[in-house]
Amino acid sequence: MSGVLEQLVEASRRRAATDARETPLNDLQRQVARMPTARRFEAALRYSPQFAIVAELKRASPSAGQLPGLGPGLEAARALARGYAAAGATALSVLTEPTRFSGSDDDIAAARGVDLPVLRKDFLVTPFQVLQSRTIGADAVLLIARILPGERLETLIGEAARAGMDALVEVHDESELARALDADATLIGINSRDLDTLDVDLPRAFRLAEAARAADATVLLESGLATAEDVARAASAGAHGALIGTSFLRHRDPAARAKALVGDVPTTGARHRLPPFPVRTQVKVCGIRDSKGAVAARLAGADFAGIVVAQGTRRAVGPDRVAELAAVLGDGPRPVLVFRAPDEKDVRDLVAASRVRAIQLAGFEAPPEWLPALAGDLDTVIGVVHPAPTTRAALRRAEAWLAAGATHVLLEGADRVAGGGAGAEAPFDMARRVGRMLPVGIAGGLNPQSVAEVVARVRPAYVDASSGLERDGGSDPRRIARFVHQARRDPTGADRVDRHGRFGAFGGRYVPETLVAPLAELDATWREARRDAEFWRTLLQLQRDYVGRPTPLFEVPARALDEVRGAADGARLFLKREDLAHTGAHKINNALGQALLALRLGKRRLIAETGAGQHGVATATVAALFGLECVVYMGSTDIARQRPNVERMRLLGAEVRPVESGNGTLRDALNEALRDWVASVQTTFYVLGSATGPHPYPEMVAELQSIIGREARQQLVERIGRPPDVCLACVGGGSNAIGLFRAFLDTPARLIGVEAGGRGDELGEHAASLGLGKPGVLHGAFTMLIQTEAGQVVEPHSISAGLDYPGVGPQLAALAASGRMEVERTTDVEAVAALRWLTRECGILPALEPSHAIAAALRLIPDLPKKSIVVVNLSGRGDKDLEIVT
Amino acid sequence: MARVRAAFEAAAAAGRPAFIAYVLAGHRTEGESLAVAAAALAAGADILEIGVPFSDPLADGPTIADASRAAAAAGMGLASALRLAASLRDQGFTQPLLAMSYRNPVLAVGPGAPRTMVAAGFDGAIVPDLPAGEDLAFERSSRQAGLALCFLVGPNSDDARVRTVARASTGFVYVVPRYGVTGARQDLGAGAVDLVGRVRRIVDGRAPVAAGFGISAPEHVVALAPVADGVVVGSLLVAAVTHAGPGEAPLRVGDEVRRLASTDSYAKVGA
Repeated sequence: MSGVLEQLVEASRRRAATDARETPLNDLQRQVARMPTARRFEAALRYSPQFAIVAELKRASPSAGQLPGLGPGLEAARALARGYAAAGATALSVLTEPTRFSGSDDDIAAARGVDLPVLRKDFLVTPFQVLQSRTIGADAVLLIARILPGERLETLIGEAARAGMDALVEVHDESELARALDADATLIGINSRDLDTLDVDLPRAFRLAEAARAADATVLLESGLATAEDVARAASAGAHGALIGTSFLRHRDPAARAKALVGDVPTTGARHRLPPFPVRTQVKVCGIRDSKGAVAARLAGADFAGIVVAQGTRRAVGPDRVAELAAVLGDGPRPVLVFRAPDEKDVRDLVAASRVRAIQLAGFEAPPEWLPALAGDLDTVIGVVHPAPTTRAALRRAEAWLAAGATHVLLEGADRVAGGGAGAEAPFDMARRVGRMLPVGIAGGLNPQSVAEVVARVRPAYVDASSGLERDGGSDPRRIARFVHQARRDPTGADRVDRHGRFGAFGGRYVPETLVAPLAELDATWREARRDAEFWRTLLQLQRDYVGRPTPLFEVPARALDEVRGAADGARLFLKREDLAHTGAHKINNALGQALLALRLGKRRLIAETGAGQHGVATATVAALFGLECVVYMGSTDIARQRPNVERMRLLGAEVRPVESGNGTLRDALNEALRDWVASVQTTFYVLGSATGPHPYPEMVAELQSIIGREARQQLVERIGRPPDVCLACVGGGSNAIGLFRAFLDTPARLIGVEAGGRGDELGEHAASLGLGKPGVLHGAFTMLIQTEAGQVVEPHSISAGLDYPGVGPQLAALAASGRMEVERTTDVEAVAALRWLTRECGILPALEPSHAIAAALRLIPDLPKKSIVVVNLSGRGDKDLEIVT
Repeated sequence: MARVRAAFEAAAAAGRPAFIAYVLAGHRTEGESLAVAAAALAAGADILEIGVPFSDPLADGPTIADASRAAAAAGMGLASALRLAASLRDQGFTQPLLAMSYRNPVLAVGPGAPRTMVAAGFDGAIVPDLPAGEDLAFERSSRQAGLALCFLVGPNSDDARVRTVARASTGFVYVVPRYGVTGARQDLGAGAVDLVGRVRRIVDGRAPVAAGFGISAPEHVVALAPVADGVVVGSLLVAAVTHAGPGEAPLRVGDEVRRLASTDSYAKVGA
């Protein structure tokens, strides 16, 4: 190694040693295991419809010195990332090396501000550094073959795979390429610059590209490409893309250079038909052979039910019984005919006889040549990939199945001859790598006990089990139910609270010490009440007789919707009418439950914070009902804009304390309520209004509000026989959103949280903490927060007082991070328009808060598949907003 | 870390509790808060807490909360506190410096925050919205960096909880002898002395025990002296700065520190 390279490696080693002292490796592993799935870097290159440009952010380099294209500071990095994205870059590369490249780990976070996968370029030499790359937000890491001798290269490739990242293995000559391929690299970076001499040799780079491509690798050229001719030559040598840094960055406006180059790149021609990655793990229950098994799969809510028709195997079902089993499955799991190396005629005959239009083909090395002709007539074709010698080979086989018309690929643990269903374990590490490229399923050795952990580790698109779901040789309904449930656990932990009060990384209990004991007491009381049938009886009775539940589910009439959806058989829109609950909003669900807990704890004074006044009214209402004292903190700005609710609270006997600090909005009211509680905790119960705050509030409020989703689900199933395709709800703190979404977390429904986009995306102009904020601690929870670089919370803006909050409930933060929930923004203007639309078209005056969700639904509906079912939580009525909108 | 313990030992050797003064970084201006901090140290503060301005100071009463929000709105933050500590070190002050910051500004610095704070001259940190045990990674990285953490106990912390806090506190155990937020008060509050005594028995020498929140008169210090290894005075000093005329703040804070901390006035009241 040259002097410079040696120094860089040594500096990297020293940094790693310092960091490793602060964070033990197993802490880091635990953290990485629960992180959301990384963006797909290699897939973006390999399946790019045109030659991919990976644009680099770096401030200096030993060969070029300081580069004018990127100045110091994170704002500069963020701006350049935006510029590259707008220029059409396929992915970003970020130099984090600090000593000679003036980079920093924070630059990764800055680059992640745009929706492109991010490569961390540094001189990584230890497994610790690879894991740590994921924690700072990298989706892929650079591994330089030259500085990773012996088995170290393979070790780090494996470490990157286990952390769910892609590894770009950089080689410079034939022997390094051979080492990389031996180490099972799939993504090869060819550096035309010799790291020792710094000389560039393009012809050799093109030769290496051809060799790497011939070995089925994804190929990226690094260094030395500048012109459109260079790029054209690289493309014809088989490279999928090029990483370009210096030749952009030596100019003042690198993004403009990138744009010019992207405009010139050749298309790559052939493109694989890429099935979408499902929003949550799908489950196939295989080996159904009697109606008991079919009923169990249907009740468990499996996505697919495999009926083995490969004769001579233990679970085989005779052709005559297939249609009967399919009938039992009904509109539940899709039946799949499972074949092993069949003839074309067998398949065609059985499909025709049973009218089951889904097949699985195992026992083939490559897809049979008759498949493309047949696939067009089928809904689902699952191609099985048996164990392959390298990840590249497995990937090539998976691609071959998809090219031949398969809709799904299943990686099976059993080899081609032995056959599946015997429990041979799936190749998990390889599956994770192939699964980052394509939505593949895994089969082999899965059972109800292990499946949640395997899903977290592999992140497959779907899982398939048969022998793990049987007992005494027959289907076991309890195992099937448990398997389906466990398989759908969110791998990041976003779907449930853990014993530390966290949803994935979010939540916790960041409070002054005086609140630690009362929160522990509240948690214990809540857990006890949850198990107490009497508590629920009381609560449900009040929900029925006092609140007026269940609230209706109203379908927006066709007349109103036809103009929006453009066709009569377009999406159908249902409104969950929480505006018809007593006091006019969903807030009463929570206030009632918490008041019952206060009575249980013997506390006679309730305090609450309120934004729009809805939660204040709800709390004042239940205080009146139970004869409790009630103090409501409300920002002075909100008092001015939500007058009617203030009068209602006073009439109900509550004291409304104006909060003048800050901007006089919800956040200030929350601060003041917490201050009150710190001082009065012995006698006072704090009725927190949203699924925010310290544990156990986010969990407790979500549970009390989840009646919204449970009712909606039941109402839909009764009315149309299935759960919805899309659920939308507005998000301030998020209690109405989580209240709707919880019932659908384990369904395929898209969940869309709609934040207040206010007047625009600049800091202070919106209340979009999920979409535009970053992680931080406020009001007792680690969550997404609208804040400055220095960690000061920024006053948000929204026309709607109920959404005007800089934080968000931790579970929603976790669901957004895991990708389970999508996040949208609706502006002030759009929200008012939606309010007017619904009032005019349906005679329903919604509050401004849910009007944000309605606006998002109206934007979405024209693009949805026909007959999609959309549910919006109409969380409150709009009388309080009359002054603002008229 | 060692410097914090040494300060308590030196005060104990002199037969008095360590006097811990609080100054808000960037209070009115960075220059003024530096002068105020220097004055407090020169007037006899054994340890200095440097408050980090924050937009949402929910454990603070109006005096500190208003000053903190105003400073944060003027762009002050953890960076101001780091500059303040570094300037005090440049001026040759050797007393322990503790950052008093809410979790979020520290979090914004990233996982290397403890190292950054130590590099600027801090010996320890108090994070009022971070209870002991909530963020073990931060506790560990602070230990590694040599940043002494001081966790709080309150009137409702049971014995087991006090032991947890004592184990996590590498600086001192900070007793908040009342329910409620910071702020100067007329009296110490019933049971304050008993509480500090109970905590001290449970902590049993594993860490010094200091009391704060509401201490504003020499009598308070005298009352706590038999049971506390240290006393923290915050809101009183912050109010002195807030109400001081131009250029007067350092003098007034110096006077307050002398009034409460000097062995003279301490002995006089105690006599």
